[in-house]
Amino acid sequence: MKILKVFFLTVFILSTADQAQTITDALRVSEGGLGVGARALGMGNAYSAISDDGSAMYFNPAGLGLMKRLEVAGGLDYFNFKNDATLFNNKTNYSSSATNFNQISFVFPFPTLRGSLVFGMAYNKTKDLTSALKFDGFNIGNNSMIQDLATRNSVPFDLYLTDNDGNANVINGKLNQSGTMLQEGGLESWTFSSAMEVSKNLYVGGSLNVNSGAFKSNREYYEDDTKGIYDTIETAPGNASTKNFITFYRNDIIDWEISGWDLKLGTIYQISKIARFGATIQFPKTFTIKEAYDFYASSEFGSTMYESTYNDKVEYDITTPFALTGAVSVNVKGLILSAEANLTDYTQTKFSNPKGISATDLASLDKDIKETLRAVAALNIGVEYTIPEVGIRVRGGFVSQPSPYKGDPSDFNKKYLTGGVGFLADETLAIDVAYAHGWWKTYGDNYGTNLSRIYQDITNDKMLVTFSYRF
Amino acid sequence: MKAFKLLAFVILLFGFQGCYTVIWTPDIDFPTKDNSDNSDSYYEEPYLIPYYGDPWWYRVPPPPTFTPLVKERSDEATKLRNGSEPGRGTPERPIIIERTPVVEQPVTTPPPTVSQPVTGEDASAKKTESTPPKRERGDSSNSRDTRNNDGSRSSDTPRR
Repeated sequence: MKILKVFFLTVFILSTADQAQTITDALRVSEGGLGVGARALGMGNAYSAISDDGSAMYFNPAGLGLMKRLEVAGGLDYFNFKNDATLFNNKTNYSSSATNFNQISFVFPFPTLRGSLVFGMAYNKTKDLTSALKFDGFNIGNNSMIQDLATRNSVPFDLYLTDNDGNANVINGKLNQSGTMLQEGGLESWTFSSAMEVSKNLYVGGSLNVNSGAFKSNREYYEDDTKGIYDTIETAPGNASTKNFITFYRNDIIDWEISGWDLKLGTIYQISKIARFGATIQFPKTFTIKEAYDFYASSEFGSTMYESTYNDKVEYDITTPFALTGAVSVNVKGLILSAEANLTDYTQTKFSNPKGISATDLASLDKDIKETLRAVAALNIGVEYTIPEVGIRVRGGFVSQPSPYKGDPSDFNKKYLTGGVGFLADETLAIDVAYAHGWWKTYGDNYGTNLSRIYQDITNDKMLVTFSYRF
Repeated sequence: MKAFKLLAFVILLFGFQGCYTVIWTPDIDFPTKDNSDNSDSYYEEPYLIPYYGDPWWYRVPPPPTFTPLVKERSDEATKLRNGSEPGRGTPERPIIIERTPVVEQPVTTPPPTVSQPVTGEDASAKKTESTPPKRERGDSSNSRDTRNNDGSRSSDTPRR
């Protein structure tokens, strides 16, 4: 096979028009994860009104004030993401998994004659960004990624898939579309917290989070002439080497380096052995994203292959909205019932401080966010029962995180069923195990709107083990 | 600027001691079960209470009591200090003798003056009640006594 390689260090058009930032990028850092701590996860993360261990620094820092003993805790989690995708009635499944340190924390209650003053610091893995997608389907329509790109940048022209004016007049859909997308990484934070009892049984606390993280996305996309429609047609009229079009291929690799900080304040009021009430304010988080983008594309013909490459680095900030939480837990003779609601107005998510990208593009994206997203209230409920005399606690919970997109039906809400078991040994060592199963629907467009739509049924499973030692 | 304000707020929050919480400091008794007041436990189960409720400081031996370097002086001690003109090369503070009106008496042999050195707060308790000695010119210690003996300057304007 005769291979002609054409390398292009393409102009800015590609980055601004094709690999622009998206609403998905904003939601990646602004939507909550599955938290830290196995006891909390076992109770459906309805933990803002309990929070009497190291994970209080994540859920409700006021809960630290309830602690009277020094605590060192650590956790490990296993996360598995499965995606059953449907493209043009053809189903494909794919999965990916990750194992991470979930939490390392230290809590120091200062000796008091009355009340409490407690300090803590922790490393928390706050969100796992692992995901996977595989799709494969024949598009009978008169559209394709090639045609869509031709309206926005020069890649199809560079690959001899258009005429000399850059118009994709020959390629007219009816291609098999397939690909994969693998994403990995996560958000993590170093947290410094303090809490105190300001009035009898009334606690306030704050957490300062120094955030960091990494995210990598690797997308491969193919359009193949599986039915031989372009066998005898020159995709670039006048160029004989462009007869017998076989495949268009593109590979996008996005690499994020994430940093930032935020502040969370909380309060808890306890009514003796009966109930606790909690509330938190999560101040907006500002994430600085340093993004490296690598692009490769090729077109393959019967006797020729053309290639195009591009890479750049840009930087911008994403600021997440305020999040307000109200919570209650009730203790009925060893049976703890807990519930909380978290209000987040995603329309307040913002992009800012662009470096290497157009400020007007980000402003336009902010406008899209306001028009596309909505305010939602996430609900968490949990239960914990202590088996008398045995020293074992069993837990269950449910999480509902509504889709932040306007108009999404309820089956697009993220839902999790959780369960867990806790053991307490010798009044000092606690071992907690939790399991969560989540499911929801979503979709994504390869290009355009509902021209090449991938419907996705997502499930994920998380197993979390936490060890806590109290001195 | 906004970040600095928030950071300052957090530092204030972390360093703030509320009106309810009383933290232990080295100059007060270490908190124990007997001398401290702890909030109610949320848990009823006997085996959970120690895990969540018992303060760690109940289980450790209290550290030795710290004696502060500077103690409050009583007014009387202040009087003593100001009356003795410290730092003038007198290693031992002279006794202050309360002045009483001099009464002409037949010449007799004066009783011996109590001249044992006293220090610190005990000094106030050791003011002599003995019969005042007969003053003689050139007795510098007695002249100081005279100048300061009304006590008004030193007691009205304590140095601290």
